[in-house]
Amino acid sequence: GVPLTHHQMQSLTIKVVIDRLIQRNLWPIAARMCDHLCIPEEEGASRVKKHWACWKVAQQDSIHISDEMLAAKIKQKLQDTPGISYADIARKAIECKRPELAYQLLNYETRASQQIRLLIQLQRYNAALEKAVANGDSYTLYDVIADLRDYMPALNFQSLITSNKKALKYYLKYLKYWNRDMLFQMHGQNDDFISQGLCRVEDSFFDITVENKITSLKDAKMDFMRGKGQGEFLQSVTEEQIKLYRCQQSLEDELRSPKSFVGLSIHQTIVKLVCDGQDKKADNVRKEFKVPERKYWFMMTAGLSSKRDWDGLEKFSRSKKSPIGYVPFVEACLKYDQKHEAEKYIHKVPPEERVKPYLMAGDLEKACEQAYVNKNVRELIRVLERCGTANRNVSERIHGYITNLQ
Amino acid sequence: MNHLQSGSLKLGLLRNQARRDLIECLLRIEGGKTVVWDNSLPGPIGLVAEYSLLQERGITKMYPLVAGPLPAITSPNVVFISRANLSNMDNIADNLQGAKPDVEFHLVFLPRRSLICEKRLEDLGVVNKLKVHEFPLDILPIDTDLLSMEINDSFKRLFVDADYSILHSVAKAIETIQGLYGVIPVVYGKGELSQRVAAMVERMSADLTSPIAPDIDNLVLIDRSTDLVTPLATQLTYEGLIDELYGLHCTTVTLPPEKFLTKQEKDRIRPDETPPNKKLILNDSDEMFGELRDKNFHAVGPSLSAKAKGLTSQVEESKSARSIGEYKQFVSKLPHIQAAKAALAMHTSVTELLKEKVDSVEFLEGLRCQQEFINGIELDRVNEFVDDCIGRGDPLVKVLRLMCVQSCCGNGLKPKVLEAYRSGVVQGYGYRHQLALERLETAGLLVEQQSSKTFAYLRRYLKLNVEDINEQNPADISYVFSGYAPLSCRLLQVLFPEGAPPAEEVLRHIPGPTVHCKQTLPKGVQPSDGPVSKTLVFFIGGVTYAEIAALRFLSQRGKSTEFIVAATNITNGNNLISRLI
Repeated sequence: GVPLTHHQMQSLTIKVVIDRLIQRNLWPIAARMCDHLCIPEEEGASRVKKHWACWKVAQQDSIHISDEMLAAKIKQKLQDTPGISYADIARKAIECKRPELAYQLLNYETRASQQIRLLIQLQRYNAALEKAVANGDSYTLYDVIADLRDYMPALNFQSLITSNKKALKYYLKYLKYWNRDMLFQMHGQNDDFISQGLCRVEDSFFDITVENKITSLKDAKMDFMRGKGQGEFLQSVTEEQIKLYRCQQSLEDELRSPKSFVGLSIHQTIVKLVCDGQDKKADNVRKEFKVPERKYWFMMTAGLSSKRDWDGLEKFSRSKKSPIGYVPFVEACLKYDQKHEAEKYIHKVPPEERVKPYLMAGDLEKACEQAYVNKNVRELIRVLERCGTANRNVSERIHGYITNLQ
Repeated sequence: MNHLQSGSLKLGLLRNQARRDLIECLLRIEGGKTVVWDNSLPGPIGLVAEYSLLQERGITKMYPLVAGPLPAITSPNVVFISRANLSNMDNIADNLQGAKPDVEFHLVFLPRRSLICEKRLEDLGVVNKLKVHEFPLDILPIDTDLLSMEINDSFKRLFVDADYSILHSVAKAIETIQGLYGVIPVVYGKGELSQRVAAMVERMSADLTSPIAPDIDNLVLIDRSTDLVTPLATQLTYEGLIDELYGLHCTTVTLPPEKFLTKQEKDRIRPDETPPNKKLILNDSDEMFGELRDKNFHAVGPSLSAKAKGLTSQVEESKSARSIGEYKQFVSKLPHIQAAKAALAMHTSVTELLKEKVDSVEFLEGLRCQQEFINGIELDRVNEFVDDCIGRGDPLVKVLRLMCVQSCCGNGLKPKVLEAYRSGVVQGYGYRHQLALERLETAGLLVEQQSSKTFAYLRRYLKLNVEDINEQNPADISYVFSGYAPLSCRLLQVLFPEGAPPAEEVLRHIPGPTVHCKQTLPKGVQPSDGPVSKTLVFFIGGVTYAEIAALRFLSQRGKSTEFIVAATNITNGNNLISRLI
């Protein structure tokens, strides 16, 4: 034991006494003293044990047991004490040129940032990256990726980042904001042709002239051809878009209206042509892009009604039996407040389906009568739900009809 | 906002802590402050601290964060309060052009700093002009049983961008909750994201040493991808419809003004003037809203009529009052009757607004199409109604939403159907939407059919389609969608049966990783043994008002557990889809 007077202890302070005990490697006494004096574990016992652990690490004679076992032994002695920084012990191991031991000790460190920092120092890049991804905090992850990029040779960094799928996703996102060219290259290196193609497609929307857009899309198409799976669909859709740009460019030239068609969809192009009175050209576009008949009838209705050509609309509706029925014609007329025109088409709708267009036109009386003629209670209820306080006579009539039918 | 203390979990504690943190953050900046807000923040912050409180802490003026130079600054400090996104950084840099040297500029990130954002500020040359702070508000109480992180783009970030930093924030939010209400003894979960969050929560819980007895008994983590059908379906509760049709943000909704103006107000409007929109605050402090909010919309009208009759009869009663005592009684009830009348008028107007849209042919036809898909009808072919919607040029969000419902109900679409839909969208709406289609595919919403038809199996096993529902007096949670019980809620119903211990086997019937673990409580703390347990359900990726209504229904009816709902954000089908396109 070390003789100590009370006066000496007071002037040295307890902390210093414990420190001196620790430095003489008298850890059991120091630990018992901390316990006895009720010093909280984080301040007392953990310092003692850490010192012991660092000493143990520095011991050359412990080389005959494996680093893994030594680390486990240390952990066993220390595990019940909170506030232990395994990172500090690992640092000591690094100082003593025992990197493997340091790595084993780091496995027990719970604070991710400390762990990762030292793993990078130990050049255990893979482990560092894994831990950063597992930690989930993207602030740390971007930091780590940036560090790795600085520490590692470029090729090694590339292969590391591509091998860790999750880290790769983060990296690509980081590149999207920082360095689109590099992003593009990364896709290339990963043989991710679809993503490359999509990059080009995104860029094409910023191209100003149609010629440039087409060039970008042609390149994108080549990328999609090399990609498997969805590549096929993307390829054909891109091909169609190139065709559409060319078609729209020539329309703009022929009709002498620049910037009016490029960028529209196929449907929107046709509707605009019909609206501008260019029915023949609209029909040509329909043929070129194999637009199905149902869709074409919708477009004609939209185009003719938007230029308020009610006679034209009527003529069109009579050209053959409508594949979309006549309700769309009713809708188109009502859109432009042409109730009188709308009624013409309601008569063409088969009786069983007439309640809906009457309701669209706000014609509650006729809707109610039609529903009764159809002997359809559900439809009567539908009309009833639309009756407000202003249509009390209609709602009364409906109640009567419902009773009759039941 | 005192109503927050009236729920079974005293959420006022959480709100007060957030308020203290905000004030502490602001006090670190000495002197008068002009605050420039990220426009997604006034709503959430308003739930934490009233404007008057902020004024007491030295905030003299407030502006929204937009591009361009700042207006003239009179205070010594300018504080930007913003979420970490790049467009805000660009606006801040813009605002700092021509900055006066005598003004100090601060940037408070909510909830945390971001390396990417700080690098952006560095690139724009302004990072040296700013002092950076953090305000770690991860989650806030929206109502007595509802918490939200208000991360409105969480679904896109999680399921398209694979940005898992949100999961870290979710874990931190749970850590905050556990810090106030105790470590939660049992954790359940479903889905890969839930698994990750559970692992993080367990790690963080090990560091919680304060001996608070747990107020919450169970935590259930639900990854949104385990139930994609529910957020896509059109909600039919009163609150759900308000959100679907007009958008309910942090309990505030903005509505067209016509139905709320009195006759005199209407007469006073000049022909060239448009009256301002009506802003309403809807939460539990409005008693009538509390009664109406979770009802199926068809039950709201009759409820309002019944209330109107009740009020009228109360007023009639007063006319028959004879004694001074009876008059006195009536007069004391008068303010309550006036308030009830005003609330009645307001909700009647809201109901009329909703009814106009709900009764329209477009709404009803869209709803019927959705319901057919949810009932498993004709999932294997191109739906003619959807195709015609494209033909008519209906809004793209509407069309995509229906396609996604069809895809999710059938665990994907047949290849020919998917191709037809994709071509249809590109031909009808434009080539650029093909990128949107890619994103919908990545998110799992519009995909090619996988081998197993899980949703069809779950539909039968969990009895999700219910017929003959009584909308006025529902007996089952399926009333929230008029015949479809939300999968997520049915799962919880089976997990916590009445009068029996939790049945975790049900979790294994749903594909995806399952979480079931017990957390170690701090020394000396015992789990609570009250008559009714409390369960915190955390939806990772968004929750809908309809699901919240269904869980409230279960809490009130059942004798198993009371639910408190938390989520990254509150969403609906249109929001979900529109953020992806």
